[in-house]
Amino acid sequence: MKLALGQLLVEGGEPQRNLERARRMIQKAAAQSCDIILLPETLDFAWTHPSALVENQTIPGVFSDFFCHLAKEFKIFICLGLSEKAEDKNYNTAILINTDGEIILKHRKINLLEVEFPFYEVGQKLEVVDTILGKIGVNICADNYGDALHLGHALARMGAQIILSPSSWTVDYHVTEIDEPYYDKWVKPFQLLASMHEIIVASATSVGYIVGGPYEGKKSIGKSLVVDKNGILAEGVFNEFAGDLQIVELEISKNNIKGTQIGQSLKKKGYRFDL
Amino acid sequence: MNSPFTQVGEKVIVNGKITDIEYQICTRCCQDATIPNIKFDESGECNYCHFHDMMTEIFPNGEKGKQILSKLFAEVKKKGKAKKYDCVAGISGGRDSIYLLYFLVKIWGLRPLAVHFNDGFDNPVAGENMVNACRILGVELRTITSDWREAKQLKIDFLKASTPDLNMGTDIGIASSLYGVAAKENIKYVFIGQSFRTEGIKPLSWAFFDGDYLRNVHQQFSDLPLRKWKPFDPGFHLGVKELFYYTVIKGIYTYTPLYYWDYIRPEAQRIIENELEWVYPGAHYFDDLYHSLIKYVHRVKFNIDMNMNSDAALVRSGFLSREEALKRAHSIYQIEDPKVIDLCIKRLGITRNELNEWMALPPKTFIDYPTMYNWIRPFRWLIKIASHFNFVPKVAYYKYFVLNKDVK
Repeated sequence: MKLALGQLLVEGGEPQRNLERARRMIQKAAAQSCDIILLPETLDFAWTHPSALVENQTIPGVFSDFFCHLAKEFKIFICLGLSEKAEDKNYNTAILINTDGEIILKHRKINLLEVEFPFYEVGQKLEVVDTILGKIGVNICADNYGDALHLGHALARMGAQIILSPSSWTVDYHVTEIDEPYYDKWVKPFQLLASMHEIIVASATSVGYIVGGPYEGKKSIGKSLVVDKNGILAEGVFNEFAGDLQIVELEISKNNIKGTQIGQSLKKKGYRFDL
Repeated sequence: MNSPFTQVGEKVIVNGKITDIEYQICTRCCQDATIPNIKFDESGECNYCHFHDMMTEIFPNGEKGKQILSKLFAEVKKKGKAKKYDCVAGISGGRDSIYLLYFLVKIWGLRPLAVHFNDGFDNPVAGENMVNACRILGVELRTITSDWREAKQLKIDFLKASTPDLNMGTDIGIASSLYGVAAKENIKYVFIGQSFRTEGIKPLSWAFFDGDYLRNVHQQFSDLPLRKWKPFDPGFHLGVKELFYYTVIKGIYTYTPLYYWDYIRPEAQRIIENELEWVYPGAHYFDDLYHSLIKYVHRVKFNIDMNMNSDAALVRSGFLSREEALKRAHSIYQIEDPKVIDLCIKRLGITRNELNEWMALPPKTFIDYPTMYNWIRPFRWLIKIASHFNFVPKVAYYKYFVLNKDVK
C-alpha cells in the first residue's frame, strides 16, 4: 500500500484556496501511483476558525463532493477532515472516500478540546471499513491523545489494520525548528497503539499560522507522522508555511487475531490489565 | 501616464494632502512631484537621482565592489571559523532574498543560517520558495513567528494611525528577529538582500523605521500590551535601547552585500529558477499578501506609488526604460487583487466599513507621532560632523537630514 502523507497548508477562513491546494496535492500523489492520500483535519476553514460556524457545509455537500470527484478522477482513496454542518449542529468530521468517489466512512471527532466546544458537537460512534487496501479505521487528532487512547484501542479491536487520523497539531508561536514539541504528545501514544496491536497509525497535520478563533497565538508546524510496531516510518518536515507530500510504502499486518484473543496476546507480551 | 491629480484640478497630492507644489517629472528617472521632499535642479533632475549617484560612489560594484566583498567575507569566515554558522541571512521567499542566499552559499562559500519572520501574511508560493532554496543549498532555516494577537493589532493600529507605514510591525519584526537569532547563536553578521540600484530610495515618510514609533502608536491605539523584550525573543521591540544592545553590546553588524554586486534581477531570477526551484510569487513585494491591502490604501488614500519609486531606481541603473516607467507610473498595480484585499480584511477580523472609516481619517505621517526622529533632529549638526569623521554613515545623515530636510 502506497500512502501519501499530505501535510497541507491550511489558511484560516479560506476554503477555496485550501481546497485548490489540496487538489494539487492529490494530483501529485496520484501521479506517483499512490493508493491513498491522507490530508489534515478541517482543511476547509482551518480548525476552530470562526467562519466555519456560518459557512460550513453538509456532508455530502459542496466540499465533500469536490473530493469525491477528485478520488474518482485520480483513482485514489482520500481521507480528509472537513467542518460539517448537520441540521442545527456542527461537527469536526473526517471522511474516507474510495476510488469510485463514494464516502465509505464518516467519523465525527469525539475527544474535543474545551476550546472546540463552541464550534463542534461530540461525535457518537467509531467505525472501521473493509477496503481493497485493508481494514481502515479513522479518527481525528486529539482522539489519539494519551488519555483518550481507548478510542484507538477500540478501532484496533474492531480490526483496523491502519488508523488514519486527519489532524491539526498546534504549538505555541515561539516554537522553532530547533525544538522537539511532539514526542510525548503524539509519538509516544502512536507508538504504544501501533506496537500493542501491530497496526499502522498515520496522521497528516495541517501547517499554517492560526488566524482567528481561540487558538490565535499558536501555529501548526507539520511533522506529520506514520508509525508502525517498530517505530516511526515517516515524518513530515517542520514547516509552518508550505505543504509537504511524503510517500510511504506500507506493509499491512496480517495479524488475524480478534476478540478476546487480543487481550490474551497482549498479556503474553507482558501488558497488565489491573482493574 | 495616469495623472495623479485629476480629482483636484492641477494640485499635486503628496502623502494624501493637497499641496501648492507645481507638478513636475524628473528628467532623468520617472519620479514626479508626488514624491515627498522631491526637489529638481536646473536641468530638471531630482534630488533622489543625486542621492543615488552619491550611493553608487559609496557602494561601488564591479571590480571595486568585489574587492570590498572579498575582504568583508574573509573577515566573516574568520570570525565564524569555530562556529556552526558564519552569518544570518534574512529571507522572505522573494527574488532578492533567495538570490542573496544563493550568493552567500554558492558564490562566496559562506555558511549562513537562514532566518524568516512569519507575520501571518506569507504568500504560500514564497513559503515553498524558502523551503526549496534551503533544502537545495543545505542551509538551515529558522522561522521566527509573531504572536498573531500582537501582529494583527499592530496592523490595525497603523490603519488607525493614518500614516503610510502600514507594515511597520512586520518591518520591525523582521529586523528584531534577525538580531534576536544572531544574538542567540552568537553570530556577528546579518545580511539582507536589498539593493538601492533596484529597490530605490524611499522617502522617509513612506518607510520610517523606528521601534519607538511603533511602540507609541500601539500605546495610543490599543490596550493590548506587547510582550516584553527579551534579547533572544525581542518580539516587536527594536527601539534605540534594543538597537544599542544588539549593535554595541553584542557587536552585530548588518550589511546589504548586494549593494556591492552587479546585481541584475532578470539574471538572478534565471539562476534561482533553474537552480533553486524558485517560483515567481506573481509580483514584486508579493511574498507578503498584506501588500495587496497596502497598495490599495497607499494609492487611494495617500496617492503613493511605491512602484514608481523602485522603477526610478531601475531607470537610473539602466534596467528599465524611462518611457516604460512613465507609462506605468500611478497605474493600479496587479497585486491590488480584490480577492486578496478581502482576505486581508477577513484575516484581520475587521469589516470593510471599519477599513473605510480608517481610510477616511485625515492623512498623517510619522512626524505626527513621538519618534526617535523628533529628538535626534535638533542634533543634526552634531550628526553631520560625526558622519564627516565616519562615526555615523554618511548615507544615513544624508537620508535623514538632507534628502528629507523638510519632512512633513
